[in-house]
Order: sequence, then structure tokens, then C-alpha cells
Amino acid sequence: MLRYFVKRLAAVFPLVLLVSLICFALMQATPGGPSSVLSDNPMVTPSDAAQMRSDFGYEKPVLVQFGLWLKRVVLHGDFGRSHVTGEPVLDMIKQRLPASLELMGAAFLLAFLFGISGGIMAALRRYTRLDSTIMLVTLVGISIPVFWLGLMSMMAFTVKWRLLPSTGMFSLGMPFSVADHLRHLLMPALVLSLLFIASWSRYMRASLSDVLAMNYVNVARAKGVSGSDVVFRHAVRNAAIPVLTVIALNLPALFTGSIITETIFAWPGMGRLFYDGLLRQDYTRLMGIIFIASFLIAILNLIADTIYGVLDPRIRLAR
Amino acid sequence: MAYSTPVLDSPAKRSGAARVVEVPMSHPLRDTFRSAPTQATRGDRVGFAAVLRKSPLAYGAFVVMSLIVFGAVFAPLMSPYNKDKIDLTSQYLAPSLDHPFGTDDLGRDIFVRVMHGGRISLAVGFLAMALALLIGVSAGGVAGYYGGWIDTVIMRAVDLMLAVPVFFVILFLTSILSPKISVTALCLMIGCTQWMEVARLVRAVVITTKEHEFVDAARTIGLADRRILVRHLLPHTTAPVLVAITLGLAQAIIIESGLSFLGFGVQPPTPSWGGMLQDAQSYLSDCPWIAVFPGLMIFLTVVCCNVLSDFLGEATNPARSGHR
Repeated sequence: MLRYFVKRLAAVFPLVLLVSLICFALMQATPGGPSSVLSDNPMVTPSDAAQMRSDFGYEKPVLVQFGLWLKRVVLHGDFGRSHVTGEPVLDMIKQRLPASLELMGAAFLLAFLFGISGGIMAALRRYTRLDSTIMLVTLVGISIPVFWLGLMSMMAFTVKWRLLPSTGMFSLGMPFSVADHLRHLLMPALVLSLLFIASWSRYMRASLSDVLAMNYVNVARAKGVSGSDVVFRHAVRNAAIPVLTVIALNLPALFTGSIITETIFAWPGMGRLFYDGLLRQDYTRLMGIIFIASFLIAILNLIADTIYGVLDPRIRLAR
Repeated sequence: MAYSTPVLDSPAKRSGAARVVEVPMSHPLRDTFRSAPTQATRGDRVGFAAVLRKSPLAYGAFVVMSLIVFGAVFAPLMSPYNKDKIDLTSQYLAPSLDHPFGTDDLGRDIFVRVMHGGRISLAVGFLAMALALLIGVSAGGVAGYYGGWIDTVIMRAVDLMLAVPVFFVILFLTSILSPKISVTALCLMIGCTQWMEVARLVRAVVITTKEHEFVDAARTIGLADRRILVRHLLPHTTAPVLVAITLGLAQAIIIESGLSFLGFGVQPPTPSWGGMLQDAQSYLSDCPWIAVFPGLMIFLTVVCCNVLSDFLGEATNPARSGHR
């Protein structure tokens, strides 16, 4: 098991490196280079700009710069300073990361709960009215773009029925309360999770239907294992394996969705930080966020792989 | 984004030479319709339209999609109003007979702008998927046909692309290009990030098909590798690729409108569905129609693609037709 884990670990990190190298190279390709924000500012004299450029190390060859950047990141966790605010990028990310993780975590949890249980229900009641309803709702769910869903639910729940707040994490000028915070979290989390609820329940339904048609399920039934034991101890466990891959594959989409959701609902997380960075062309910040996001996705993939190994001995023991 | 069939990082597949052939998991829309469309059996050629008519949902999707494409293509000929002309005497008008979808903050007719917006979204979608098709079919075909290290390298690249938060990188690129983002640039970026699914499918089909005797026969009579691959193997991939490409079209449209929504797509005043939604954010409470219609168009287009993709999957796969 340990060997398997280490092998997967070794496969994951080159990925993060390559993504950052590509972004780094792209950053150099920007018109006027990554420090154009500085030189475009009329208050910055050309000599100041040159000074700053050498401070950031921008005259060196790209690969050398990348090496230096990586060294600082790995050794000191130092992503450099923002071109716009001068703050260390790591501090900015640290400030915003918890909010993002909370939103994505909540969305993930909702998607997992409703997606998996919806899929199981549909598979067990195939071709009934419940099943068709679930399939129709999930068809809408996988087709609705997250930004439109966000706007529409804002229009319904905030503007029309005045049920839920539309922006931010807390009500301003009110003492902190958990209930208030959850009220703010509910709509963004639901909007972010709908796509995954829909897609995971569809996969779960397909996968579980396939498993339920297998001979070993019939054998278990024939031997007198009770209905729910057959489903939950034998079938669901095996059906979960391909669904887990889908979940792991959807992680980048979860991050993507969070950029858009955070932007719509003014949720002060990393996605919004990224969006602000885009608007202000703050490339050091963007690099830092892309690195952290790829890193997180890589780690989560690794966790998924490990769960795989636990669920399915065939994978763990293969070579 | 969400429909990729699960293979990435499935460790069973990483076992070097003894790669397991990837059998794509079922389509996310499988069994949406209780009665599967009838499968045309051999010698009993049934036209596309006849098969389509047997599945009401797919038929509806086909009709709606055709209408959307028609509206987009002929928008300049059919527009009663100028799409960009600012008319301050008719701002914020609710939907009426004169303006079926209402007017926006600058008095422009939303119906006309939605039709024109479709030109951008659909053009980007179709062109990006054409590019993805080209890259995916070549990469998957070569990987499956030659195998060995070529296969390993290409499939590693696929795994890599699937694990990267692609949207972040596209946004990063568009912010570098902004504000001069052309349709070509959008197609290139989206096409280069949507080919992996096609590559995987093509590779899987080529790997299984190349074991057949007719391939040996072709080799024996001295056909070149390229000819065997292009003329004898790739035609077998048509059906799964068609399904993947229709799903991909939906994805490409969602990505394009997402970019425009964030302000990094085609720039105003050129109307695009995502861009119109971005403008609409400020008028949610008073003029909901500004936000409803452009989004509805994206939604309808994506639903139609999803339904049609599923239909194509059912209609071309004998194993899946009928009840199970």
C-alpha cells in the first residue's frame, strides 16, 4: 500500500511543475513583460521601473527566473510580491483560501450527499416516475451554466422572495452569528454544487445499474442476503469506484466554478482574488494562485487514488 | 468539464506495457428517455430523420437547435433593429410585441442582440470543436496505432491536461491578450483544451480494431501505416467521436460564455450571450428580462447538445439500444 502511495505521489508533482512552468513562460510573453503594470504607471520613472525590474529579476533568462521562483516557493513558500499592492502573494492567498475552501467544501458535501443518494435512488427505482424525475432534473442540472444559475437564483431568492442574502459572507454591521453565516453560504454553495449533484447522480445511477445486473449480485440474492445488504455492502461499494474517478476528474471544474460563483456572490475567496488579479494584470498573484490551485488538485487526486486502492484491492495489488 | 469519462489517474491503467484498454463509461445522459430509439439493423437502412422522429425529446432538441443555428446564421438579414444602435428613447422596455425580449440599458433590442450573440457562441463552439477533433483524432490515432513510448507520452499529456485547472490558465491567457481577444484566439484556446476526451476514445477504438484480420491483410498488401490508420481504422471511431464532440460543443459554449461573462471574451459592443449576462448583473431587480433571455439561450443550446449527444450514442450503439 505504501509503495503504491509513493508511486502515485511521484507521478503527481511533475504535473504541478509543468503547469507553473507553462504559466511562467506565458507571463514573459505578455506585451511589455510582466512588469508593464509598473512602467505604465506615470508616477513610476523609467529608472524606478528598471530598478524594480531588476528587483523582480526580470532581465534574467526565463528558465533561470523560473528556477529562482521555484526555489523561493519550495524553500520559503515565497511567491513574491504583488505588482499592484506590494503585499506578499502568499499572505494574500492565506487570507482568502479559508473562504474558498469553505465554499468548495460545502458544495462538495452537498454534491456528494445529494448526488450519490439521488443516483442510488434512481438506480433502485429504474424506469419509475421517481427515476424519470431525477433524470430530468439532472439533465437541467448538467446543462445550466453556473453564472446564469447564480443570477437567476439571486433574482428569485434575494430580489423577489427576499429569503437569502445575495453577497458576502456576513451581514454588515451585525454581530457574528453562525446562522447568519450559513444563510450567506447556502445560495453560493447550492449554485456551485448543482452541476456536480446532477453529474454525479447520473454516473452513480449508470454505474449502480451496471453492477446490479452482475451475476455476483444475483448470487448474493440467491444465497439469501437481505435486499439492503446486497445493495449497500456489495453493489454500492463496487459501483462507487468509477464514480470516484468522475469525482476526481471534476475537481478542476469545482475550482473553475468557484471563480465564477465567488465573483457573482462577492464571496471573498481565492477565486475572487484571482479575478481581481486578472482585472489588474497582477501576474505574480495569478502565478501564485494557479500554482496553489494545481497543487491542491494534485493532492486531492492523490487522496482519490488512495481511496481507490482501499476500495479495490485489485488496483492496490496490481504491480 | 463535467462529462469526461473516468479514466484519469485510474491506477490500473498506469501499468506500463500491459495497459488495459479503456472502455469508456456510459454516457452521463444514458437512459434519459425510457424508450430507446430503434436501432436500424443491417440491410434495413433507416434514415436519420426516421430514427430521430421515434425519440420525441431528441427530435425536439434537433428542432430547437436548428432554430438557434438558423437565427444565428441569418441574424443580419432578419434584424428589425440595429444590434449596436443606442436608442435612449427606448431603454429598459419590458418584453412586448415590438421587442419580444425587451430592451437593455442602452435601448438596444435584446432579441436582435441574442440572435447576433449566437453567432459568436456557436462559431467559437463549432470551430473550437473542429480543432479539438483534429488534435484529438490525430493524437489518439497515433497513440493507439503505434503504442509503446509514443502511446505513453501522448496519454501522459492527456492525463496532465485533464488534471490542470484549465479555466484558470485560459483566463490567465485572455487577460494577457485583453482587450484584444479575437474569435480565433478563443477557438484556439478552447480547442487546445478540449481534445483529450476525443483522443482517449479514438485510442481505445484503434487499439481494439487494429487486432482485426483486415488490418493484417492491409499490411500484407503493403499499405503504408498512415493509410491503414486513416482509411481503415479511423472510420471505426466515427460514432463515439460524434457523441463526444457534441458533448464537447456544449462545453465549449459554456466556456466561451463563461469567459465573456467575466469580461474576457469577445469585447463589447459585439454582443455575446455571456457578455450580455455580465451587463445584466446591474439590472437584476428592475429588469430581469435583460438577464433571463441570453442565459436561456445558452441553457437551451447546451440542453440540446446534451440530448442530441445522448441520442447519437443510443442510436449508434447496438449494445445500448432497447431496455436493459
